[in-house]
Amino acid sequence: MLRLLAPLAGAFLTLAALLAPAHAEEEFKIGVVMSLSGGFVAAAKDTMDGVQAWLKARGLPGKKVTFEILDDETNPVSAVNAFRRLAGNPDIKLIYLFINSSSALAVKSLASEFKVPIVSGGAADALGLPADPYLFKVAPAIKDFMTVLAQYAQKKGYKRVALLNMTDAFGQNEAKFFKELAPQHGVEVVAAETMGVEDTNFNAQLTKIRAARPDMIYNGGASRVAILSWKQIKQLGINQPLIVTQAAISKSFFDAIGGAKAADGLMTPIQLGSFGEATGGDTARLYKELKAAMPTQVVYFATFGYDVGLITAEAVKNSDGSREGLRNALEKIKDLPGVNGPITFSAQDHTGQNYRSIAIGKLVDGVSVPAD
Amino acid sequence: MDLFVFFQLLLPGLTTGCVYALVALGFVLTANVSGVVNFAQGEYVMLGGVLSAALLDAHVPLVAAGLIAVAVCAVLGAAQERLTLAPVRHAPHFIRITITLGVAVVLRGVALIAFGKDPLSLPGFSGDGIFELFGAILPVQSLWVWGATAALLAATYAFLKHTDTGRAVRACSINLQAARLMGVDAERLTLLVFAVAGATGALAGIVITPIVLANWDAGLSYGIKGFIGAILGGMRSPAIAVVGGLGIGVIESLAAGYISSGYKDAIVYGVLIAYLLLRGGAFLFGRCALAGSAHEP
Repeated sequence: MLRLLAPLAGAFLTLAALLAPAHAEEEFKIGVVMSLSGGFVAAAKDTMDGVQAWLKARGLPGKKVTFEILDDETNPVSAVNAFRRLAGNPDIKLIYLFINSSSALAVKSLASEFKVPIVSGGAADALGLPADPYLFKVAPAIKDFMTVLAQYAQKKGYKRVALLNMTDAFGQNEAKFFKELAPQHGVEVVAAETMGVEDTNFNAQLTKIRAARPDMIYNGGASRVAILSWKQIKQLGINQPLIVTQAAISKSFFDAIGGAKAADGLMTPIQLGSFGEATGGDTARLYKELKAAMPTQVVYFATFGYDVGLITAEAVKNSDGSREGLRNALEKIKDLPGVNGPITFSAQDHTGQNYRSIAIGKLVDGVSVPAD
Repeated sequence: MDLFVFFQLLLPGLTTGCVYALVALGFVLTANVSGVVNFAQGEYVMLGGVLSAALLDAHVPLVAAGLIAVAVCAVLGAAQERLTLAPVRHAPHFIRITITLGVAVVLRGVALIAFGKDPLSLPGFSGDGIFELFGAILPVQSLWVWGATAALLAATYAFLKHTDTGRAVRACSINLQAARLMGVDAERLTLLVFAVAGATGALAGIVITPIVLANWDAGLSYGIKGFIGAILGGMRSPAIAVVGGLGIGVIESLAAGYISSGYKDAIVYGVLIAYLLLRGGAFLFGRCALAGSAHEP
């Protein structure tokens, strides 16, 4: 009897050992430095919502994704401290940075010290170029937005363009890149004026712009500057096509100018995800997925979060799961479809999305639709 | 010279200059009686704008919102003097000036928390239309700014020249000790002047907000430019300080139009430096009744 039971027990134990791994998922731990307090809270939360939507819609097959989240308090020093703590944890394979550009740049300075791959938010060009081996930026660079602007001017036959940019680094980079790109697109910059963040009177700048007789005007102002310059443009009877920066469009902008309808026709270069399903193609398909998985309305930063998830899945699929393996797989990503457009990294350039993920949108009743 | 362009630059500059002029007036009046430069003066302009806009959003009628904002800023001005400057009346100048800087920071912080970071607006008092003057296109609200400034300046002139209290204020600015010996209650006058300065700043903020919106951080720029205007007036003469404030607004606008919008602030501060150098480097605190025997312990 015992001689019969022993083989049966052995067979049973072998079967149990073979079956058990099929039900136990491997944990994939992601460290997240995000703004849980401070000025960047809303954007960080929206981004995380997008990641959660990706998890719900797709996730990592066969893996249980867990997050360890630390607050950067919208502060570069706290961001660096939080990064150090997460990067020092060997269980964490990948780190997300859902923080503003200043904090992300602070983390970039020591990204290679811990050799953990990072997928980062932030708009600053310097995050992706020059490339740090371990930090991968997702959003396009300022130069990409200006490339789309120049392409649009060329397409519409606008030969003379006037610029009105902020005096800060962002605004000056916009002006610099556009001036470099303009000749390549058959465009002449006929006026390049500047505005300070505290300025309230733009008569001087707008008078010079009007005198230059441009075919198109680009206004890089945001917040109060965007509102006041828009009002003064209307008061002075300047009717040329007006393109504003993405950052200008907000609820307070619509409230101050008399409602969303007052801004009808206003154009802005924005990422494809902002158009929702209107663009078609991969953007529409992925946007639909995101929308189905989100419990609330889809906003821009949520589309960015979904793209972060897609990048993660691609890297995990093509790696051995180690930090170095994930880093190498991230760098090999080419034309990966994203909600906001295709994502490509290279050894020299860690800016994931470029001008292909941007289009000129036109406001219709407060909503952006692709411009003609 | 294209006259249309010139007036398109001059007249809006004059509008902004009106606010600087009223801030400069506040600086001079408070400095004359207290001996200290009140660097919180610009914040009363900001408060007038944000408070009246917030009250209007809360369905308070525009006129009532404006009056309440002016009254609140008058009380705040008096409170600033009584609570932060009166206790240190005999402290060195730099301590009292630093305290006013601290008050400015506190007022900005409170405005940010109370009213948020987004700009607030007021409708134009006669609508949001435009009009043309010498070929320049201006918002109708500009007329309200010019009118309010002229009325306030006329009232201030009448007060200083033709009332006993006004004469007492002028006496304090010439020689505080002598004024005290003549029976002038300098402490009460200081309280009154700070209240008036707060109210004046608030009124300037209310009339300019329909044109430039109101923001928690707008006061700093008004304060600095108004201070330059006051310096050009020697920190002594209200009339010259007003002209200085108007001049700064015009210079700023003309510089942006004819030289470069990027350098307009540098040009304005350059005017200040040039003026101080021309006056032999003497920051006029060292020469007028504000320093030395008049106000020091």
